[in-house]
Amino acid sequence: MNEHPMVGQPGGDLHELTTRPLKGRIIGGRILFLKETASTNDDVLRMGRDRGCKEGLVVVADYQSHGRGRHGRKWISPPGVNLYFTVLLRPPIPPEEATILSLMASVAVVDGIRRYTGIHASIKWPNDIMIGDKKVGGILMEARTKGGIVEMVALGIGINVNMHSGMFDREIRGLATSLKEEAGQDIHRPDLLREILGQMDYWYNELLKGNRGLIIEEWRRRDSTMGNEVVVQMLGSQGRPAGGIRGLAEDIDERGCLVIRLSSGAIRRVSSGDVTILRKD
Amino acid sequence: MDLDEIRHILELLKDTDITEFQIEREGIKLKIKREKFFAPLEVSRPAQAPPAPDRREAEERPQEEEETNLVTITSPIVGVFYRSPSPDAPHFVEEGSTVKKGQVLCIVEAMKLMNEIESDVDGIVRKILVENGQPVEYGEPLFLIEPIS
Repeated sequence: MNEHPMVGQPGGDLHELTTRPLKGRIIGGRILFLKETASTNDDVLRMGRDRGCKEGLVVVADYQSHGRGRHGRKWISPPGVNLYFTVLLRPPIPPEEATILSLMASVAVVDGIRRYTGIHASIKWPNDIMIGDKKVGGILMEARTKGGIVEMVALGIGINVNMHSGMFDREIRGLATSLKEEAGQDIHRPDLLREILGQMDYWYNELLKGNRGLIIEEWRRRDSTMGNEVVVQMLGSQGRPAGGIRGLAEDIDERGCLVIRLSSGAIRRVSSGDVTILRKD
Repeated sequence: MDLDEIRHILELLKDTDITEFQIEREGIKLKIKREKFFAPLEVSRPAQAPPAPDRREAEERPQEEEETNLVTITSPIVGVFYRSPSPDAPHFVEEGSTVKKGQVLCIVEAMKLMNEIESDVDGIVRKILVENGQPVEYGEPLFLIEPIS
């Protein structure tokens, strides 16, 4: 009867979220559930553009057929086990300040996981959600910018909740984990999502009050990148890796850029790239 | 036939009394009709011809001071410039592409925030100023677009 056996099981039925939105909050005040979609980011971008939906709308799917990460990389999105959701935001900030959303979202996800499961998640720059040295969640934001204004942002989040290790693709096995793998039991997805959305609403309100500095400070407290030897890989003009920068991850600046000290002592600031931590000190 | 050649033809016709002009080359048919002033010209290909990579469907008006009429699209953030949504995907636009106001021209990424930069105007992409994968600064010019009114 049920196409996905784990729906309605201890992992929870996401459909119930639609009847339990976060009343009175900006984020999560309206939640749409889709049993299956291509990508929740695409859904939100379309709804934001064509229907002019208000900010705070959340689209959550049980299964994504074309879940994606940076540069169209696949985000493995099997049915019935994980969380895939996108939040529509229309922040009244100029585009050059919008990167703060990347930091804000990662703080909210880490806090949601810590509060709901007790698992000590952390952040790898800029917004990978980690447990130890394994990735448990990713954030990809897509913004429409027009005439120097942020028209809307689709803040997409994928979290490996109840996946077991055998479900990961071979190439990321050992690099990825799930909350269930760490906790040793199924996690109730709807309640976890409500916790994360509640955290995000809190931090988004701080941002609207102008408390950028506070968000950067809270991000630093949850970060596990700094103080480590790292390589930052860039994507070259042909879409292939274009060499990397190696050095000591020192800090983030006021915009959120990663500050790296090279072996020569020179400082480099990086706005985007894939960070690999070489050695934990 | 490229846009420079078309522009050259327009220049040649400018000081003549010719009101109708037609040329067909390399499968491209260029037809210009005018009365007192230049009318919009049409560039068309026979329907059966396969589209070439440099295919342009440009409706063009001659510009007296072309350079000053170009609209510059700048980067709203510090980040990395990408011409396509993923390495395997086709570019959003090429030089010579006709674009609509609101059409996505490129992505500038910073900290996994992919900023889709839209055109401010209806027009033709005249120049792409940055290479794919290059870092860009705030306010750095990315595209020159010739508006179509």
